[in-house]
Amino acid sequence: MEIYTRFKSGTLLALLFALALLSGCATTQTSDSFESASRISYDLNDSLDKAVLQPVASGYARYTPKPVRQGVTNFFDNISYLNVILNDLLQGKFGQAFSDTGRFAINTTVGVLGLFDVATSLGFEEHDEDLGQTLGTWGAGEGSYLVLPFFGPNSVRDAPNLVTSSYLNPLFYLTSSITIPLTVLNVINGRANLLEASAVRDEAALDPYTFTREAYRQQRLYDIYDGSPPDLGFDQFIDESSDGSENTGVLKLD
Amino acid sequence: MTLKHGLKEVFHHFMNVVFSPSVQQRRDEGISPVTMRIRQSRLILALLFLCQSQLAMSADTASLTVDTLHNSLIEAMKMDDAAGFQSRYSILEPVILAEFDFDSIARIVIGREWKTLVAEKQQDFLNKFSALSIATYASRFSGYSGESFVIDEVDEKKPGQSIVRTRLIKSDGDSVSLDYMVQANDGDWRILNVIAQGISDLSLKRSEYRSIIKNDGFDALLLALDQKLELYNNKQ
Repeated sequence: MEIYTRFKSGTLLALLFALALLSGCATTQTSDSFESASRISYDLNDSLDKAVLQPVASGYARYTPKPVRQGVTNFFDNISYLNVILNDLLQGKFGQAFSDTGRFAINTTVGVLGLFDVATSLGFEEHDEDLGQTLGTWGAGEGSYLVLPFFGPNSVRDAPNLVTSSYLNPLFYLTSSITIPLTVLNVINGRANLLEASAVRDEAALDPYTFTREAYRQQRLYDIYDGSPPDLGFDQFIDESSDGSENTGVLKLD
Repeated sequence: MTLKHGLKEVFHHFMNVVFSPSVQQRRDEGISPVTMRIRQSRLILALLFLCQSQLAMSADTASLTVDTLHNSLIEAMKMDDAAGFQSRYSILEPVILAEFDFDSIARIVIGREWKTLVAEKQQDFLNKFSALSIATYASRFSGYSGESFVIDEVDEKKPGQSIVRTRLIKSDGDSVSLDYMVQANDGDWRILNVIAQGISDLSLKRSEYRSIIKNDGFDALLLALDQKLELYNNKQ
């Protein structure tokens, strides 16, 4: 237990941070410099998922009433919300930071430690911010894509968020006899919420690694721009379908 | 402005220009420069209206294309679950084949390599790719429980290229944003790409397919498509 906590707080995160700093400046915006290592992590995560996590999450989803699952999701959303508030501030969204602080206070008290989301109906909308998004709004490129063992899809720009989100999570400061079972519950519940998405991936993807990478990148861009990423329009596809010499502006070329 | 409305407008202006009594009267008297100018400006006006109503028509047809797809998806969802995957596939097949621009999509997802392929290979890919697209929709859209589609706006990027912004509203009130990139080839509007909650299907497939081609070649891609289709064919 002691080892787990120390490992979590220290070595791994420091390593990630160092990695982020080292390669942050050297990589281009949409690279996959660590592809071979990432593919190994991906396969590891995928086999673990298929063997253990996914079946457990399916069972959990089948036998847990929907309101209970919603309560669990609310609880973990709320307890990790300080990281959202910090990143509101870092992005200069002061009004949003104010509202999110109110949201956290209301849900932690009236909402019984976050189990019930009372704040939304009172007009305190939920936001999704993290350090990766903050760095993105500050103009940092994605750095390289990265698949971390156990943590899954990530990137050089997004990995440092693992540090801030851990340190800003009250669970981090509780004894491991509470933290560990709750973390396990969080992982299972979180995976259960992704069952539909992973079913889509399993059904549609010809190359699941690339599929996941592209979906992750686009999702992150969508998050950074709070749901309205720059409209790339039709031109983004033009060069791809022709050699440029007969570029008429219409995509169907021959 | 609806299509019917637009056409009516053009017709009226056309009639005015050609058969306007004043013009007809003066035809016998010889046409003065002033009349000539009036006629010209009327013609320009008519042409302007023609252009305008063509724009209106195009917006209308881009959303019509999306609407047709949505209606067939709802129809497939409303089918008895006992009818199964294959019946949903049969309902969706003609609509998806008609409303998606698979020729352009294939060129984009394959890239430069497309032109180096012999016609049979291209056709083989098109058949498998479109079959997989239909199967994906047939599998995902089942079990109707009060879902509906709403078209929010038609955002014209250029003449012949529009983004139709829509939402799928689920029974619990949650909605998923679906943006369709629709383009016209010779006046025929077809869907090029679907962007669901910011995830662009075409970009995703482009990366995925090219990665397979780069690592294992085009035949490996055909094989992977076959394997996916096989999974669906075993589905009831």
